[in-house]
Formats: sequence, structure tokens, C-alpha cells
Amino acid sequence: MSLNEPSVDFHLKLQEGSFKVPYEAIRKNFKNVQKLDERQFKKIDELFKDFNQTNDKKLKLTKLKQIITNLKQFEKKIQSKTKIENELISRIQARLNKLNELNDLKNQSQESPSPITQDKLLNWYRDQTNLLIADYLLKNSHLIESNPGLKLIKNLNFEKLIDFDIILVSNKISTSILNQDLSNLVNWIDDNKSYLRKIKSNLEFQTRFQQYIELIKQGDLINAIKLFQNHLSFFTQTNFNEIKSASGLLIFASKASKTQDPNFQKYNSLLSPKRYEYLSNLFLEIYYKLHGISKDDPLLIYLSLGISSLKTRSCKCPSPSTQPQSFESILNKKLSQSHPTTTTNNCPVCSLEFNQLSYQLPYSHNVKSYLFENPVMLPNGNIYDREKLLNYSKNLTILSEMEVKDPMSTEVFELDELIRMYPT
Amino acid sequence: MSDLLELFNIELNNFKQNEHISKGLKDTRNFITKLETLEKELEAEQDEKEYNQIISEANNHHKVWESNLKSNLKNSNSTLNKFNKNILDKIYDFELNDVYIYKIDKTPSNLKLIDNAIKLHLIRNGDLDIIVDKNDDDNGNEVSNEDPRIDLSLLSKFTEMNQILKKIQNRDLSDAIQWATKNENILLTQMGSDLEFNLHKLQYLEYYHSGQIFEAVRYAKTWFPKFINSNSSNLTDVSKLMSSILFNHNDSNSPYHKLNKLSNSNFQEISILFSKKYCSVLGFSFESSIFLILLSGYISFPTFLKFIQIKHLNNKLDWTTHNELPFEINQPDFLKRFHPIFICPVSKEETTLENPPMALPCHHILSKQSLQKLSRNGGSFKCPYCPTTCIPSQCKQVNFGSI
Repeated sequence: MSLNEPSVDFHLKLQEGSFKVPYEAIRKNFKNVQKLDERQFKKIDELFKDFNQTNDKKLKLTKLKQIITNLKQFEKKIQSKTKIENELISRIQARLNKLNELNDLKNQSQESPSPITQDKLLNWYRDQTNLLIADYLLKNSHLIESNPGLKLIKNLNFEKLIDFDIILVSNKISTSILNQDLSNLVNWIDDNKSYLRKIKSNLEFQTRFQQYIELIKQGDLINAIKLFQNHLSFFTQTNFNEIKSASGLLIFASKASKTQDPNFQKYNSLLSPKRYEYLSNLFLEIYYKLHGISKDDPLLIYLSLGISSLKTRSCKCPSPSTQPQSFESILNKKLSQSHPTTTTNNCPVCSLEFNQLSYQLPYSHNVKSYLFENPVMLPNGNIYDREKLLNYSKNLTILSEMEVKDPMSTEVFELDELIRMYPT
Repeated sequence: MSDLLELFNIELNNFKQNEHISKGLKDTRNFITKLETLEKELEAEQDEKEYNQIISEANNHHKVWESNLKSNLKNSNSTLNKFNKNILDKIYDFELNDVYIYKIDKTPSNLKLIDNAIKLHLIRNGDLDIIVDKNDDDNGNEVSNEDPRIDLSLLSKFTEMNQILKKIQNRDLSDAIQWATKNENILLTQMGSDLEFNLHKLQYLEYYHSGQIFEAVRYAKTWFPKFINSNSSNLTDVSKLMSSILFNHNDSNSPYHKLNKLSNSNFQEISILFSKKYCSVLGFSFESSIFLILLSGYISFPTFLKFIQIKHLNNKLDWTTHNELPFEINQPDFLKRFHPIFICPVSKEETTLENPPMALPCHHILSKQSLQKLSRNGGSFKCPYCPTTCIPSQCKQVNFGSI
């Protein structure tokens, strides 16, 4: 009955990121408090100096009032920081509770193994499945306002289990980059200058460079040169080659766009809209690193492992060179096999929705045969489990009691034609 | 057993008990209240000595406030560090993508495939709004122009299923029974399913346990006869159920007492059975493919990780075949039963389309390649498992099928 699935402690390690993300956010929030505090110390110090220096009673009172007002403003700011911290801590708690729940379910299914305790345990994994899907949709769907991942999270009340707000910010910025709008990105860069400097990131230069390229494309040479002077010129040391190309663009851009000459390839690639994809990926990489979010989609990682560990030599997976099937055609095909015969296979790897993806992944490795209790061979070479074959045939009223039907070939055979096999 | 989990619970409690910034907030509030009191006193005070006293008090409060906040910052900082060191560092063992050897590239075609699989999964949950809206918003975009709209009637079937399941959870079987009766033909004749009988049994027990004996008998008379006719083993069940009426439902001396116990878990069991049958009548497998694959991903993760870690220690270790995993994953039975697997007992290799299983006249089975090696130029050879000798032309290609 055992699922053979990882221990709770292993799950804790698998979810390390989902604790690290809110923790880092708490840390960042705390740093902000620290800054606020230090500024406030200075401010109050100054105000007290004024308060102590003056001998005028009225003025002293005004100064004291000023101190109080200032402190109240400070209090409000700290209050909002406390709120943020409490929310983040409650996320850590909710995620830990989910693992405590797993611990209980595992104990239950060990103490009293039954289909019910197993199904409860499987339900825990169903929740994880939905979380992985929500995470994927949050990151990859370019709908910001009505993001399907966010809807899924809300339907399932999983708000505390996933850092949707942090992910949506990055999705919003990367989507606007892909729509060739750099304003959100520039704002983010301004807010995170010190981090970018710390990791010696190329992002700021590439962003300014892209703005410059866009001006060149529009033929706005005057503003392009201004931007060059104000922003690009600072990067002469670090990005000298690109700076050279940038200068070249001033002269060659219009010519490059009209020719296929390989000498101009460098400029053509700079002018290509593909650069927005590059910029978006560069941003996401840095953003994810800053927040401790996994670079690859966890959904894809688990899919890759899951498919290759389930794929057998008998799985039928068409080559990916065929067009991906549309959702509707999959749905229709599934429905047309309605009232399934017993041969419809529920293998997830060769299911209609996965077989094309599965083609790209390796087979599982097997060292032991996995067959049935009483293998019997039909005259056509097909081998089945005796019990199941008889049962299957029994339900078909068209057959006589001494006949069996091959579910794959639909041929009908006499019962005494069955041959018992001895696969070792 | 779960040491890290236990430790995490303890550490998180400690972490929460330390008030961090909210402590500073209290100190600030305190400071404000004190200054406000002093402000009033200052306004009223005439006496020079008292006046100076107030001012020095205000300065004192300032010092206390600042030092409190400073020590508070220090404490918070160390709690934060401690939490990181005591538990977060301990649960950090690897990166998720350490095991991501076989990448699923995010090509437009792959993204579309993943999107399909996600939609098919969400349909089951009854989360239609997510899919439908998404389609609406996608409109005008080249991908969805090829796709006709999703058949809403299908989506509504899954909503129906989820509604019926909810009712079952509330111990109301009426809709489930109605559905089973309507689909009796498919359920009974094509699937040999006993869902309907089980539903009626449960409904009968529900009457019995609520003390409505006559209602129970009337119900039994209406529904049970046809199941006795269709399957003789049901007769035993029904006789036991009917005889239990002679005893009170909470009489522990009844021979049927244990058998007829009724609790929420009966309803849980029937809802699992119900959703299985409902899905298969629709032509869907009970479990969504993406769920089974991800479950298998979780199950195989530790094995993948172990291999990667060993590989790091020993560079010589490498993938021997690129289209097959280099290690075996110990899957639970329900994830293995999809395809029969035959390992040739001679070569220890799994049979494939190119190297299919062959049956010898003695009814032992080998892979084609092993057979060719044994026979050499088509000559006669001895079966490795029994004294029989044969020639290749007497052997027959076979195929394992699952029902």
C-alpha cells in the first residue's frame, strides 16, 4: 500500500525555497525598519537639541509638539512594516502547517493502512499538484489582471502557500518588457540599484542600451545621443564593445536595416525585437535570484522527473515534429473513446495530453519483469492475465461460455486454445 | 522520525515569540504617551524647578526610547540570523534544478502542450472559470484562432460531478443514485461496476441507522431484487443487510454490528468510487495525468538526487544510455500497472519493439536477440530454463497486453 514517497523531512528540503522567499522578504523589511529607525534617531536628536536650546517657554512647547507629531508619523510607518512582517511570518507558518499535515497523514496511513488513509495522503499531493500549476501559471501566463494562477490560488484558498504577489510583480515587468515597454523595468532598476551593483549586473546597461536602440530605430538621433551621454557613457569601462556598436549604430542603422550583408549582422541583431526576449530573461534571472525563487519552473522539473520515471518501452509517443495537438481536439478524442473498452490505457505518459512531451524524455530503467499472475497466450501471440481475460469475456453477452475475446485484436478464440506461459 | 520538521516547529515558535519590530512599535507608543503627558504638564507648570524637572524627564525618555529601539534592532537582527542558521540552513541541502538533467525546453510547441495538460487537469477540479476566462482573453491571439471554443457542456459535466461529490460528503446520496440509475447500462454491462449497488446499500444503512426501519425495508424492496438477479454474490450481502433489521442498530450483540457500522468514511469511500466511475463514463481516467506524473516526480526525486550526488563524487560514473535512465525507481504498484514490462532473463534487458519477446515451444520466453545468440545461424539450441531443444523457426513473437 505504501506510496514509496519521500519522507517529511525530505519534503522540507524540497520546499526550502518556499521558506527562504518569505524569510528574505522579512529580512528586507527589517532592513527598511533599521533605516527608518536610524533616520528617526537623527531627526529626534535634532529636534531635542532645538527643544533643549531654546529658553522661550512657548517655543519649547511648539518644539515638543513637533517631536510628538514626528514620532506619530514614524509610528505609522513602523505599523505598516509590522503588518508586512506578520503577513510573511503567517506564510511561513501556513507552509509549515501543510507539512505538519503531511506528517499526520503519513502516520495515519502507516498505523491504519486503508484506501481512505491512502486517498487522504494522495489528496495532499493533489494540493501540491495544484500549487505547482498555480506557480507555473503565475510566472508564465502573460495575463496580469486576471492571471489564471491567481484565480486557482483563490479558488483553493492557497493564498498563504505561495508568494503570488512577489511573482506577479516580476511577471508584470517581464510582460511589459516583451511588449517593448521599458518604463516598469527602469523603475525597478532604480529601486534596486545597490543590489544590481553588488552582483555586478549587466541589466542596467542593457536596458539603457535598448532604450538607445529604440530611439535610433525611430530616427530620433538627438535624443539618442543625449541618452548615450547621460547613461551609456558611464559603462565605457565595462561594456566597451557594446559602446562601440552603439556608436556604429548612429551611422549604420538605417543602412543595416535595408541589407542582408553579413557585415551588418551585428547591427541587425541589435535592432531585432528578439532583444526584448533577452532583456526579459535577464531581468527574470536577476529578480528570481534576488528573491530566492527557483530559476527553472518547479512544475517542469517535476514533470521531467515524473515522465522519465514512468515512461516504458511500450509507451506510444509520437515525435514532437508533429504539430502540438489543440486542446479541443484532445478533448474530443478523449470523449469519442467514451464508454471505454478495457484496453484503453490510463498511462499518463502516453495519454493524449502528454505523449508529445514524453517523446523528448528518456525511458525508465527496469531490472525486473512486471507481468501478471497467470499469463496465457492466445493463438495470435497476445499474452494476457487469465483471470482478467475470462472476466472481460464473461461480461460480453455475445460470447458463449467456452469463448474468449482478445481485447486488442477483437478476435474470438475457444477457451482450450489458451496456452499457459512461463516467463521467468 | 521527522527531526527537521520538529526542529522547524520549535524554531518557528521561538522566532514568533521574539517581537522584532512590534516591540519597537510599543516602545515608540510609550514614548509618545509619555511626551504627551509631559506636554500637558509643561503647559500648566509655573514653578521653575518643576519646569526644569519636566524637561530633563523628556530628555530621559528620549534616551530610554533610543536605547530600547537600538537594543531591539540588535535583538531582531540576531533572531533573524539565528532562525536562518538554526533551521533554514539545515533544510538547505540541494537546489531543485540539480536533478533537472533532461530539460523540457520552453519552446512555443512545448508551452502549448503543457498548457493543454494543465487545462485538462483543471477541468476535473471544476475550475472552469479559470480556463474559460483564459480562452476569452487569449482571443485575437493567433494560437486560439485555430482552436474552436471549448465545449461548455463538457465543462458543466465536471461541475455536476463536483456538485454530486459535495452532496455525498454531506451524506446526501440522492443525486449520486439518480446518476447511477441513469447510466446503469454502461456501468453494469460494460464496466461490471457495482457502484449502483453500493450506493443503494449505503442509503439503506442510512435509513436503518436513523431508526427508519420501515423506510429501510420499503427501500430494500424497491431496489435490491434486480441486483440479486444480476450477480449471485450480492444475495449474501442483501440477506445480511435484511437480517440486521432484527437487531437494533446500536446493539453490539448483533452479529451484523461490525459489518453495518456507518461513518463518514463510508461516504468518503463511496465518493472515491463515484468519481472513478463518473470519469470513466465520460471517457476520462479517474486520475489526471499531470497529477500522476508529478506524484511520480516526487517519488523519484530522492533517487535522482542520490545519483547526481554520487556522480559528483565520482566523475567516471556516467549515463550509459542517453535514452534510458541509469537507475531504477521504486514505484508503487498503482503507478506501474499501466504497461506490462518484460525483462529478458538471459540478457537482463527490457524487450522493445526492435527486440521483442519470443515464446519457445516449451512456453518459456526470451528476447529475440538472446534467442539469436543462443541459436547461432538458426541452428537448434537448448532452452536455458528446461531440457527442451528447439530451432528459431519454432519460436513465436509474442506481445504482452494489459486488461
